[in-house]
This record gives sequence, structure tokens and C-alpha cells, in this order.
Amino acid sequence: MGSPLKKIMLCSSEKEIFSVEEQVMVQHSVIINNMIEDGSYNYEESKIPLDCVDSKTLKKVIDYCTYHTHHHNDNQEDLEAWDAQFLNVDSNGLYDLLMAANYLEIRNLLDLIYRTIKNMIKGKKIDEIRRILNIKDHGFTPEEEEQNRKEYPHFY
Amino acid sequence: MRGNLLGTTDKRHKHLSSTLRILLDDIIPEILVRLPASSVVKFKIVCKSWNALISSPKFASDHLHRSTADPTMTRPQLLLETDRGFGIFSVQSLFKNPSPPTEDACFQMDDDVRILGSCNGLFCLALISGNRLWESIRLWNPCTRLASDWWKIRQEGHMNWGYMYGFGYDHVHDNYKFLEGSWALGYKVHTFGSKSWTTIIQDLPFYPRQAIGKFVNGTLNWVAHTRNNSLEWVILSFDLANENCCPMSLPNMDHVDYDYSTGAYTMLGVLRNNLCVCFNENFSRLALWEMKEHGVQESWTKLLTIPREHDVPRAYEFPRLHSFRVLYIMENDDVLVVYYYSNACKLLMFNANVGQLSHPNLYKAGLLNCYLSFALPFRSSKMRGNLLGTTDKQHKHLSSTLRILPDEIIAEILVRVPASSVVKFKIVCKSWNALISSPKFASDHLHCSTADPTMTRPRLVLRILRIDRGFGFFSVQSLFKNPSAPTEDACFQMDDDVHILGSCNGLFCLALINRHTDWESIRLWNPCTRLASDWLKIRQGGLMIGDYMCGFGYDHVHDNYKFLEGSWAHHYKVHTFGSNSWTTIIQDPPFYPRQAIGKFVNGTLNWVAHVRNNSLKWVILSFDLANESFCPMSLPNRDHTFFPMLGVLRNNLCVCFNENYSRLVLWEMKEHGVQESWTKLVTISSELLVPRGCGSTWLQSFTALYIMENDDVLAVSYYSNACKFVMFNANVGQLTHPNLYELGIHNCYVYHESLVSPSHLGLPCFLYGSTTD
Repeated sequence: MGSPLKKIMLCSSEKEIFSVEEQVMVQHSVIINNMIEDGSYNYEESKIPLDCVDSKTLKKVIDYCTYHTHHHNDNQEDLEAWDAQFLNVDSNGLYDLLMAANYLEIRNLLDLIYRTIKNMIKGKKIDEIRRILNIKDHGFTPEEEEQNRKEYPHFY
Repeated sequence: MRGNLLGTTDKRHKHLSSTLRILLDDIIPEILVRLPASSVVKFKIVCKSWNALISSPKFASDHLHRSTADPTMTRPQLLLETDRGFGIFSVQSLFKNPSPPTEDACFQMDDDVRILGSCNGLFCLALISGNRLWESIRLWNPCTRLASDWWKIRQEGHMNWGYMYGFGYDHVHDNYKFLEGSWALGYKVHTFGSKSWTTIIQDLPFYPRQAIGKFVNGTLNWVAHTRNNSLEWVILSFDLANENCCPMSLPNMDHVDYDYSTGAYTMLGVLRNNLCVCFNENFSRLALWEMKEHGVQESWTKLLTIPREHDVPRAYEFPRLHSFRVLYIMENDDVLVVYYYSNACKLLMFNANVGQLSHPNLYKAGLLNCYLSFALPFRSSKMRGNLLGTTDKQHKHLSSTLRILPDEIIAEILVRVPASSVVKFKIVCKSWNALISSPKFASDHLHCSTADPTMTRPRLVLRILRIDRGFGFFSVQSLFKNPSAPTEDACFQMDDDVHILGSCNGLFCLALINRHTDWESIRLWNPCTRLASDWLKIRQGGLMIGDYMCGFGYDHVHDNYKFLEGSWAHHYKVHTFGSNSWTTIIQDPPFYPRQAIGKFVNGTLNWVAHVRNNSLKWVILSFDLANESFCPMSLPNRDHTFFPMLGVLRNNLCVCFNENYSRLVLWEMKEHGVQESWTKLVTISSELLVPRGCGSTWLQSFTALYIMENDDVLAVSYYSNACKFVMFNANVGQLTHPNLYELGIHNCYVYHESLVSPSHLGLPCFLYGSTTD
């Protein structure tokens, strides 16, 4: 781990450069932590290319990591309220955040998104879940689907 | 004379693709050999020549040399068996951030394997068969994930008393060897790559304390006592090069009573490539010695002593002092220690200079043995390699442009949905159906809901009278919230007259009651998925006399569900579900149980029992499902206690006592098996509990069922075949709801729903029980 004042450069898919406190990313992202620990990051020259994360999403990810680095001593309720506000995005935004968190291996952000999506589908009817998660091909034969609908009518 | 180079057989030049770039390609190995193994292994895909270079035996051996010489190059890692496979932890991060430790990587194996030893980054694995023995071994490198084929080294298991084995490197002949045997059957040494073994003629007149040998400096080492004197302890050292054995003395400790206890509780470890031992000194101190020079008796040096009472948590107490083993020492003399207890391994850290714990809490990181691995070279020279084990990290970094979630993310989301909801999602689509029905998902889901108690709410199940052959399921939360009019969440009507014999991980063990109100057959049933196994006939006639005992539980070490039954007159038998076999327990515990059905906690079944010839002396009889043996534990020390009843609260054993017929006292065993951890939760006077008109016999059968976060306790009293419930707060000692109320009959169970299915144990399954609304 480096000193807290060091900065690292992240480069989005639009080639926009973001300069972030090293400590913020190292604490949250497993892959950036590995990169710094390996010594494969050069502070003068390197920019970490994140080709599958766009600027808008990357900015949000950095916001999340920064807030959680500086407020990790806050009480649980305040943090949860902040998280809820943070994830108040449309489904495309949520998807992009999920992919970015997965790519960078930010475990607590991943867990937060997983729980959010879980709450989106919990208690929902089958057709609604298919719509929310964009499941176009359910893979059942028409007969199997018919059978399921007959057997569990109140699930649909 | 450049011409001389032509026709040279120098191996180093073998991988060169071009003579023009000879200088450059000569430099590349020098650079790569300085990289940590975990990084360099990724560089195989840079280009074909790097691949050839990095895969070559010569590079592996150069790399091993270099990382042995420079300890900062490859950081030590701890590999241990967890219930999810093999977890790999960085030792540095354990010291830096000990609570909670997180795995760097996690390996899931296709087979049930056990580690038999490790050296030079290679692990020797054994393939565990259904009867828990092993016949085949293989080598595996977790860094490259390359493994050899299974090598059958013997016909059948013969792991009898005195059995020992070990894996190590013979640096003289540049061979890896595996030794195994016992004094009765002789010893054999297997050399990997040669497919041959040597029989050792030497007869070693020693019994080892532990079967597994420690590798140090070309030797395998055990703590052992001489065959005819169990007080005489030595270190038995087997030289892998000249294949003979010689005993070495333990440190000379004149000031210590060198008695049975001292020697018997010695554990061998390896520090800075030297042997070290942990002694339990007079049951009061833990002493750590290091043999600075291998084989030199005079080089034994005492590193530190830790007094037992010295700001050390309970876990240091007597029973645990037996199995401390030192794993690693840092440059600042911080020491990492492991102890094995009731089939788990817990880690502990202290500083050797100040003799203080550097981290106050012990924590449980996994099961069974753990190994420290330094260099992680890749050595596939003499063995054919194939990839073994999948890591969790694999495929994690995907950059899908589709708006459709990848399967693994779906799995991560669904694993957080409560069992009762997720089971309905099977009909969303075919791939969800396959995912949710799989054993891996069920086990991940169980893990997740154990870690997060808010995910799956506890439910209470018992026989209700409203419906014939009906079981009512109540939410525990709703009982507390609305105790005066409890209503069932769900209700099952069974085809047969069944009795519940136990519950664990959301599975129930049911017995089929015949007309003699006896039973001969059992089955497993998951009320959440409604899947049940076939009836399994376990015996001919009834044997349910006074001292009959039975119990159902989960053996987390072997990942098995087991059923125990028997009595002291008829001996005890253990059935492993899915294996179709019974083991007879030879042990005869001289106790009478108070209740037939055992309580499952933490891999053990437990009964309150009295000594066979003294009905006033009560103990807890505990049966360890992993090593299949009984052991008695003390109840909290009370003089005037009667009628203890065992219960389970927050996964700990608890016991309700009737104190002088005037009070009810509830105790909790905060740490399983640790006598000092008994903690009194509450005392309630009997006037509060006993309904008017009922005798004090009411007090004889109170069992605690559940404790909420605010210390509200749900308890039950069984009285003349009815069960009545009572709720009180453990802090104020007052009833929270004034009336006892009756919900049903027979035993009741509190359980958490899961997706674990009998089919995951290899049993045929069908739907059982119909829900009534």
C-alpha cells in the first residue's frame, strides 16, 4: 500500500482521465490493489485503462469509493441512506455500475448492487421477473411452460 | 571462436527461437525469475517462447532457488480446508487486517480431497473415498493449478493405530517422496515420477502423536513416544535421502516437570525452516522452542512463554492447550499460531518479544489442517499435468456489452433471496431451474443465510391438533409480535403418521410411526422444497427402551448428514445418508440420557445424561459426528440443580435448570466444549411460570427455543404430551407475555429454511406432504 497522498490515474472508455487518491481505490478495488502491490503501476507514467467503464459510471464508482473511505466510521443508518441515494439510478445506470464494480472487484459495492437487484425481484410474479431481468428465452418447451402455469397459477 | 557454440547442448539455449536475439532472450529469464510466482505464471500467454521458458523444469528450479534466497519475493500464504474448498490467505494480510480475514483465492475441487503435506509449493493430495479412507494420491500446485494423475499407492486403507505418513523433497536425489506405514505393517517410500516404492526394513519402536509428518530440511518429523513407554517422548526424524529414521531429543527442560502431560501435548511446527515445538508447561504456560540447527540437541532455544492467565481469551483454557502449533514468525517476531479443536482450526497471533497477543481475538478460518506455503514454483517436470480445481476469481472480469446479466451475477443475486422465495423462481426459466436445484447453489445459499440472519427468518414447527397428521409452521417473529393469536404460516398434511427426530440445515429427519407407536424407518424431508427421500428401514424391531438415544446432524468435516441411534445395551450405530452403510460405535458411554433425541450444535449431537450408577450426577454427553466418538462435558457448576433440559440458542448449547424447585435458570455455553464459557442468562421465579393449579412438575421440562436480538426468549414446556409456550426477556427476567399457550403436541423445532435436498446426498427424491391453506 502506498502513502495516502499519492494519486493514481484511471482512464475511462472515452479516454477521459480521472485522478484519484490511491488509498481510496486500493481500499476498495481488489484489482487495483493487486496492481499497486505487484508494483506494476508507475506513478509518473501509468494510466489504468478501463475500456469497459464509461466516464459517467467511473465517476460514480469513484464517488462511492471516496465516500466510503472517508465516512467508514459513520453510523450504519447514515451510510445506508447515502447508499440508497447513490443507487437511485435507472436500470441502465445500475447495470453499468454492476459491470464496473464486477470488473474492478469492488466487493462492498457489488454486494450493495446485488442486494438492490434482489429487492427488485423479491416477491414479484414470474412474468415481472422475466421483464425486469430481460429474460427473453426461458428455455422451457411450450408444454413445460403450460404445465408450470397450470401448476402455479398464482406465481404468474 | 564463435564456431564453438555450434552444436552445443547447453539447455539454456533450447527455448530460443532466433539466433539474432540471443542477448535479449538471455536477459528475459533473468527478469522473469525475479517475479513472484503468482505473477510470472500469468506471463505464459505473452508469447510462445515465454510459455516454453516458464513451463520448463530448469526455470522452475531457478525460480524456487531465488525465492528461497529472497523471502520478500514470494510472500507466504496459508492454505486451509474450509467448508467451501481450499482457501488461500496471505499471511501478511492476516497480520495486517486480522478481523475478519478474507481469502485471496478459493479453490473448489471436483473430488473430496485431503492435504497430506506440502513442500516447495507442491501439495500432496489424497482422494477420500466413501468410507473416509484413501488409496490414491496426487501432486498439485495451486499457483499453476497443475496436478498429476491419481496414483494408487495401495489396495485398501490400513490406517490403524500407529499409522504415519509424510510428503517431502529429497534434495540429494532431486526427488519428491511420500512415506507411509505403521509399525505393524511396515513402512514404504514412494518416489514420484518413478512409479516405484521402497520398503523400509527398519522397525521403528515408536507411536506417533499425529499421523502427519512435518517436512524440514530433507527430513520428515513426528512427535512420538516409545512403544513400551508412553511417558518417553522424542522427535522421530526420517531422512528422505538415505531413507532411514532416527530419534532426536526434545528440548531439555530441567525446570519443568517432564511428565506425561508435558510430552503428550507437544505439537511440532516449522519456523524459518527449523523444527519448533509448542509445549503445554504444567497446564499453566505455553512454551515455544526452536531447534536452530536441525539434529543438534544443543541448539534448542526457548523463544517465549505465554502464561495462561495473561490477558488471553478463554480459548487458551485447558482443553485447548493440547494442540497449539506455530505456523509463521514475522521479522518483528509476530507469531502466527493455529490450534485444532473439535475439527476446526482457529488462528491466533502474538508477539514473541513482549509475550502479548497482538490481536485480541481468535478467529475461526477453516476446518482441519492448514499449511503454509512459501515459494510457489511450478514443477511439472516428471509428472504429466492436468488442470485441477477452479478458483472463484476465474472469469470474474468480464466486460459484457449485453444488457443481459451474466449467469454468475444472476447466481450472486439469487443466493441472497430467502429460500422460500427463491424456490418459486425455478419456473422463471430453465437455466434458473438448473441453478437453483444444484447442490452448489444450495450450499452457497445456506452459507449466505447463515452469515446473514436477517435473510431467512426462523420458523417453529410442531404437530398441531387441528389437522390429522398435520404439522404447523409458525414464524418465530410473528409469535413474539402477536403472541395472543398465533397463526400458522403454512400447514402440512402428511400421508403417514410421522414424528420428527431432528432438524439441521433446513432438513428434517422423519420417522414412520407404526401401530405399536414404535418406528423402524426414517427419511429426510425439506419442507421448503417439499422434497423427501424414500423411507429407509433402519432396523427390525423396536429397541426404544429407557436409555435409547438418537439424533440427526451434519458432519461439516466430511460434508455428510448422519443419523445416530442406539442404547448402552445394544451399542450405537451411525448411518451416513447417501452411503447406505452403518458404522458401529465401539465406545460405551456409561450414561443414561434424560431425553432420547439429541440436540445438534456445531457438528455434535448432545444429550443431558446422568452417570449410570449415580442418578444425581448430570453431564452433557456430546457425540462428535466427524470423528464419531462420545465425550462427556460438564454442566455449569451448580449444587442444587435438578432436571436440566438442553436447548440451542444462537447455535450454542443452553440448559434450563430447576433450582430448588423455586426458580428456573437458563445458561448458555458461549463456546462449544469450553466449560468456562457457561454464562448465566436469566433466573425466573417459578411463580411467574407455573400456571395456577399446575404442580411444580411444570418446571421440569422447560426448554429454550430461540433468543431475539433484544434478548426476548421463546421457551417451551412439555407436559402431558402438550407443548406450551412462554416468552420472557433475559435482561429483566420477566415474562413478556403473561399467558402460556398451547400450540400443539410432541416435540417442536426451530429451524431456518434452506434449499438442501436429499437428492444432493445422492438419494432419490419425490414430493412429500401436501400444504393446506
